[in-house]
Amino acid sequence: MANTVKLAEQLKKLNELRGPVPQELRDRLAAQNKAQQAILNALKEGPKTAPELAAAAGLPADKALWYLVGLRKYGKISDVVGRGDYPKYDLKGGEAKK
Amino acid sequence: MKELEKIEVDTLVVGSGIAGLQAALDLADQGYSVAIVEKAPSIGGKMISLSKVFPTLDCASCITTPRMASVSHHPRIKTLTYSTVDAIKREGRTFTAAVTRKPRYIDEKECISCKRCEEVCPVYLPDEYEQGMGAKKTISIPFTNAIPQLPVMHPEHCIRCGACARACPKDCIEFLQEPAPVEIKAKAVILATGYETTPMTAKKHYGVGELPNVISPMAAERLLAPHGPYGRVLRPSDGKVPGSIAYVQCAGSRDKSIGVPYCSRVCCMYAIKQAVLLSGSLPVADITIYYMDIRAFGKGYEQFYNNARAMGINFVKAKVARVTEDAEHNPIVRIERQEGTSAPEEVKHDLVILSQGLVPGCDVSKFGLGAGLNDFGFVQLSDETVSSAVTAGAGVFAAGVVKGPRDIPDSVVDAGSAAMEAASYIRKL
Amino acid sequence: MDEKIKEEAAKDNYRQEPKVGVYVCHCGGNISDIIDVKAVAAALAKYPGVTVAREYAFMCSSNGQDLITEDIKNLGINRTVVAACSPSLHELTFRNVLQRAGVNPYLHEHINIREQASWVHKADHDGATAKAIKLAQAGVEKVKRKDPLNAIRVAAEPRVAVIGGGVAGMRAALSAAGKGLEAVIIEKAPRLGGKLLDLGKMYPSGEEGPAIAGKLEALVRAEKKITVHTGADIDFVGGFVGNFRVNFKNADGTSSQVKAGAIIMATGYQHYKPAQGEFGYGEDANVVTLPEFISLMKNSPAGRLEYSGKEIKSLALLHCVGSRQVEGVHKPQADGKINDYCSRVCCSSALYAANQVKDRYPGVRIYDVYRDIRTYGMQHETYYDKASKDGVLFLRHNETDQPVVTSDRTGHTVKVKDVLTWGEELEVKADLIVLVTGMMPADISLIKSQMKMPTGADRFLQEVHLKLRPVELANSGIFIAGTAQYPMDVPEAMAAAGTAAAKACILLAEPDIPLEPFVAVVDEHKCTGCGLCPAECSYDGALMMAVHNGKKVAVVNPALCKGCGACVAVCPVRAIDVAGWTLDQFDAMVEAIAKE
Repeated sequence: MANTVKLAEQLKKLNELRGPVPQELRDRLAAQNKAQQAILNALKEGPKTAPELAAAAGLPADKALWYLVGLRKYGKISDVVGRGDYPKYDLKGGEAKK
Repeated sequence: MKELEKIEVDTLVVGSGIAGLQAALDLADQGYSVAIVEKAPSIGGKMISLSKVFPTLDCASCITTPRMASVSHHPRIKTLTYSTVDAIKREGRTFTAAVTRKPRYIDEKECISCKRCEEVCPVYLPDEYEQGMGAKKTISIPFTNAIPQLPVMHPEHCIRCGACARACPKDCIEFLQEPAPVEIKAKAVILATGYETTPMTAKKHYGVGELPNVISPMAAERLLAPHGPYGRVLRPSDGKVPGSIAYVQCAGSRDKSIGVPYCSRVCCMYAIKQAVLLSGSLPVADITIYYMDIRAFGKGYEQFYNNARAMGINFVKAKVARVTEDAEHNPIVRIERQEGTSAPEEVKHDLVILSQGLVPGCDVSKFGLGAGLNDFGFVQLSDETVSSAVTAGAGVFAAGVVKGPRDIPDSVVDAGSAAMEAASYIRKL
Repeated sequence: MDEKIKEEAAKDNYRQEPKVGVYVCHCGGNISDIIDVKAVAAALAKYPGVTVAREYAFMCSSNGQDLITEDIKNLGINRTVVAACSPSLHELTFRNVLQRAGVNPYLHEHINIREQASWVHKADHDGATAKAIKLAQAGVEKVKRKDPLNAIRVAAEPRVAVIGGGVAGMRAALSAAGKGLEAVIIEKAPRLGGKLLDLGKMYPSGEEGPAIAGKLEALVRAEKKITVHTGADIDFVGGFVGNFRVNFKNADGTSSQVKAGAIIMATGYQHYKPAQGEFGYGEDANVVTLPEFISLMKNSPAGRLEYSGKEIKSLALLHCVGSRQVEGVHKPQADGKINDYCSRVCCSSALYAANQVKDRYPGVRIYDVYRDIRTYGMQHETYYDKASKDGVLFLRHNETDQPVVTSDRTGHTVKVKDVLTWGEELEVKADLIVLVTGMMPADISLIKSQMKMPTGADRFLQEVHLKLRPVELANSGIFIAGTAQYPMDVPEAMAAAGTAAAKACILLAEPDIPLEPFVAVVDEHKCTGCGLCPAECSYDGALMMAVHNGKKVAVVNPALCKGCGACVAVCPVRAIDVAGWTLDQFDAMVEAIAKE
């Protein structure tokens, strides 16, 4: 398993070499976490389409879709089988019925 | 820098797309040793990211993965991925290539491809393998079929939380890894550096990069691929199932204004193929191809084209003047028909694919091997009516699209011929 | 390869209890979108004799293959069933996996649940899943009854016979000889060069046909490893991979034979010959084909384009004559088929000729009547461009609106429904009509029928797989070079010929060649010597009656047997089986499938 001493040393050295983690990156991560959380919260109410989730999370539709795709890939969200112009998404193991 | 790793082989193959893989196999199967250098983290080139391939509609993975596996298992082939060829020098009968292994920031020998690092990494990034439509993590394995199955870390996106290192069961995250130099000595070199598609910015009036639902053909391949970003065909602006899809042909070829006056050879067929696949996954969608000339010239291609027409794909002889969009991001295509009527029309679609052409993937003149280039940066052969692979540089051969656009069947055939020329050359040294 | 199998046979581990590993492939989604692959794996895991059953996205990928090798190593799996795509695609891939892991490669069964289940039962997911389970279970029953087999090894003639001495044949011979393999070119014409000998200036180099052929011929003549037979009329091609024979009559009436381990078919093309009256061809003097026109141009004096002594001031090029034909629009050829393929080279060739005319005779008016201009090559678009700049007038028609040529004393009139002027019916006058004819394969019916070579609907020789095995015929050891396969220009023929040579060199890299062991095997104890089976055998010398140990029995020549099984079917006492495909195995498979 991970050697915590080695890890601490590596991270320390990394900070020395590269300076602190850029603020821009920290901000981007914060925005990402907020958007993902908003999407997951909205889905607790039941399956939704990408535009619905975008509205609920206050994001542009293309951004919301990109976050959705990421959450889907890493197993947080699943597709809902069905017809229609806009497919719906659900929390993994959510209540969506086929 | 680490200690210099030295490799000695008969032939160096630069590039591991289908042409490079095939050339390497055709040499190794004749008993020659080969080193392949690939700049991407996986071998397989462009072909491995395609959905299905014309005219037989085999899934691209079904054709490419076994080739990749044969190469990676071959006792006479050594593969260096995520590595760049910095320079190649020729001294007497030997080429010496200076190669750099880029750091993946992991211990490649210890990694067991368990993906735990990727699972726990908190930072999501646009996945270039999915043409930006999908997401990956700051540390991730490039794609499902990648060879090798090793993750790559992008330190510029790393917040140094250490989660990956703590999750790794083999303790193989190396935050401080540095590039490693490799020296490859070879008797012959095969250039198989392939292509890139014409830059999307080349045709500004077609709106690429600005209009979310005007996409590249490589993106369309991913939409159609079994493990694509959405798992089905959706448009990127809002996740809508497109009901009306259009292809704009020659959007990056046969156009002097962008420096690509030649025909890219593959665009007619990939557009027709994608149209056929789209009509399979979206049976009610309207699919239109705006074209100048349909160039279905290969074996079985005309028949494929005829089948596509019979399936109801709409082929329209028209020039596309520009592409704009409405408030819902629906692309509006302004066309001038070549038949029927002369008045320009505006047609609304849900999704538009610009059939981009092919340009050289790498400026091989930087290697200084004496292989001449034509006006467009493709390798010029010494005499193409005598050999399809011999360049002006002694011992330097070319395989596939590095010599100019060609499709997969033509590239595979071409690669065997390059292997043969290299074999003859080595034998006569 | 052989050594490993022997070692393994010595260890005798195959006589151990069969431990079957079953591997179900998703094939991306090709299979798993329809079939519940997890359910298939679960059902098979419980099946008798199965030690482990797994499913994976792409079994053929490196990861998928590693799953199998790990199971062989860790679980002692000694037989495998892979339920995936067609065996023609990947059976060999998995046999290699077994071999690398030290298991006899023939202890593998490849079950096709893609073409035979998911693709044909798209609307019935449950049914397709049930069928996949049955098929895989049958595969398990079969593999449990399999014996390890060894490839049959035959000594190979270290020589390649190249049939056809055009540019493709010469290139193939040069490439093979370059690698050190002896090559014999057998050409029916009195000299090397093929069709190029009759052609004038050609794209892309601007050299005349004979000059291009001459460059290759000079190289051929300088190569010691190449023997050339010209004026050779082939009357027999026979044998099998490693041991082919080509018999031919020489120009002086004597006979010769070439023995070769591999054959490269570089038999080339013939120009499409228009039917009598097709656009006036054969009836009106001033209707010629493009190849005829290229020769005519070569022989015309400077400053005056001439045909039969008369000056040509205008000409019309009609594209797609004998190519891209449409059912119901075009008359079928003699064999009842239409030529629905594109001949690939004619657009570039026609426009290159138009460029020549405009350069040498700028005053000649040219009309180009076409459907699509297919100038696809790197420089070809410049021919199109130059033609437009030179004032060539392009008229475009639809496939169903064929141009009509009429003739009178003043010359020819071409009537075209031109889509470029929105369907207007246009008439142009021309002194000469040039039919831009396509390519058809050369007549090689004798060789084709003797060797049972496959051809496509387009009559060209048919490769095994356009991307995986693009220059190989299904006949093992026979390769295709150049236009015998499909229309191509000289540079393309060079590539194809080089690759054909590469495949021949790979095949003949070792002194002997491994053949598939799926051949008929006779149980001498059961054989009654009734003599029914040799009559059913289609392969000369593969199955004969002979006296063995004082008893008349059927005897198989494994090098000639194709394993077709015709003999098995007629044997009244079940004395013959095809190795790897025995009747017992089939019985067990049928039972497994039929079982409720």
